[in-house]
Amino acid sequence: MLYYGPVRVPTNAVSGKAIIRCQLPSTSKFRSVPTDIPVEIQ
Amino acid sequence: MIVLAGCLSIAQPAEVVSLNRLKRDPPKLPGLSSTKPLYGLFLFGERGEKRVWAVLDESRPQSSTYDVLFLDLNGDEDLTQPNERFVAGSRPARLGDEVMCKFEIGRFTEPGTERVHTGFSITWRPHRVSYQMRWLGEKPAMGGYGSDPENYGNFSASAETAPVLVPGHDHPFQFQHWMSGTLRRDRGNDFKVFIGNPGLGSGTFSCGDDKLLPPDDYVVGTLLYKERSGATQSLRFDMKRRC
Repeated sequence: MLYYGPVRVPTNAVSGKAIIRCQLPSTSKFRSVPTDIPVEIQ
Repeated sequence: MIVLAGCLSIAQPAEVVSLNRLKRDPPKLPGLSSTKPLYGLFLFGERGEKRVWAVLDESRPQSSTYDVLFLDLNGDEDLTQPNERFVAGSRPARLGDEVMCKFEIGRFTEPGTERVHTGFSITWRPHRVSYQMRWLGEKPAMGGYGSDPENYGNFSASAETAPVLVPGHDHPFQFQHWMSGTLRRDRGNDFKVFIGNPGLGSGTFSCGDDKLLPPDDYVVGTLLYKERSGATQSLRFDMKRRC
């Protein structure tokens, strides 16, 4: 039930709060609402 | 010249259900054994306008085992009808050390429609309540999930604060991360999401399974972060794996 993929945080990213925005690609047969998910960079 | 004006009614696709300022007035209840019934609310329909209350009761007062469910099958906010009472079984099941009560509702018709979902069940455990069904008799739909197992959903001691769950695959999908709230700079990170509908309250995300999307479909992620200069940057990545 989970969809996942790798993300490598750039070395020049500041520690602290960031956002991951999730959505389906325009080619998807389904619709989505871009969803902003708060994350923490360490 | 005669101009014929007509109105072509086109069914609009369902949109995101607005849960802001959702009122949750208590449903009408039969006499309950428990002094602490537990409440949850399911929303169906294009705008979540069909409300289906679920109220858990204890067959033996103060047993702390919720083995009776009242489910508002016809959406009339009246749970006194005999066919809306479900019993988990002669005694609760155990999964390891945990007691659990599973209510097998089976076929469920959305109130006021002919839309039928199958395999509908609700499971109570001491620290969470979950549900599952086959949406329109086809793909699995389930909930309520949170960002980690510690905050999966539970029902509430009052109707006014009842968690709200939005099952199904009709609305534009949204996303909930799982165990992915922290990203490390010094290593690769796997960012994981559920796909489905947020609810109202902690641990109320409803989702599909790993076959919800066709094999060639996937989720696009964009990391928005600040770099040391203060500028905001973005980094796209794709979530093409599933489990």
